Amino acid sequence: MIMTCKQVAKALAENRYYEMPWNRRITMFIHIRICAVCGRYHQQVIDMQKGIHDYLEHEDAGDITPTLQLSDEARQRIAEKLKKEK
Amino acid sequence: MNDKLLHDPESWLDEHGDYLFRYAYVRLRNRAAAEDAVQETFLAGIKAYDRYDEKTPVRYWLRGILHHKVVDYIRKAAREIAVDDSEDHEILDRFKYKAFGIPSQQPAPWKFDPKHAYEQKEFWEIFYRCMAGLKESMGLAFTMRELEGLSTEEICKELRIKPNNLWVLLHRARAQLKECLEAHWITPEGTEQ
Ligand SMILES: [Zn+2]
Repeated sequence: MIMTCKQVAKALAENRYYEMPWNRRITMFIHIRICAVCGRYHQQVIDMQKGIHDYLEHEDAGDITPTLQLSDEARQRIAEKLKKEK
Repeated sequence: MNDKLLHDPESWLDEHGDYLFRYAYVRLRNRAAAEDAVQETFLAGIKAYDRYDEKTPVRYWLRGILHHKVVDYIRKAAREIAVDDSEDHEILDRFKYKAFGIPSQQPAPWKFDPKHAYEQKEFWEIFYRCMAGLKESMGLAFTMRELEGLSTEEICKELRIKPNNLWVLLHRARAQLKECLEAHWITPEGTEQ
């Protein structure tokens, strides 16, 4: 069974290749080992995945604090709602 | 600290309002929608409050409610964003031509070392801003797959796209994110790949 570069790219981009049947997964990883283009793309997808994973951990810990907050109007509106609904 | 005070819904806004807003904003990329989602989360939280068992901190309990509000919003927003199929075909063709089959047009290498960047605290604010800057349909697909972990079937149903086209949106989202990170993360000298 042969996979084309495009099929590999699709599987990697969709990021659900661990749900693929094992024989197809093996075919894909052999392709990645021997094809420089897909090998590099695979590594980039992995790097990005790690970035998102680490981001979510930081988000959980609450230690990313971009200078972005509720607007004063929204804050006031929500405060009034909370008071009323409580 | 006083438990009752901590759990008083009136204190939620001060304690968790900005946190929840940032959570919603990076996923919805729309200030008004994110603020509404936070408001709805608090109101739903008040209604469900007797079911809160204190096993998880109240922040994560509220965040769990917000997760559903975010997905609900995307479901509604997706109805207004029609993904044009002809455009998708064009993207597919372009993708095939651009990225594959032609050895000189390999995916460009990172302009910085991601492993090094991931260890820098400052990097994550840029990562946040770049995710928040993703464009409409690809941004929504990215949120559902990467940040909320929905399946292909669910995402395609909500975004009304063919399963065959989801990967294009995800690929483009990742490419845009990479480009944005490269434009805004200043690589310290001597660490380039
Ligand atoms: Zn290949």
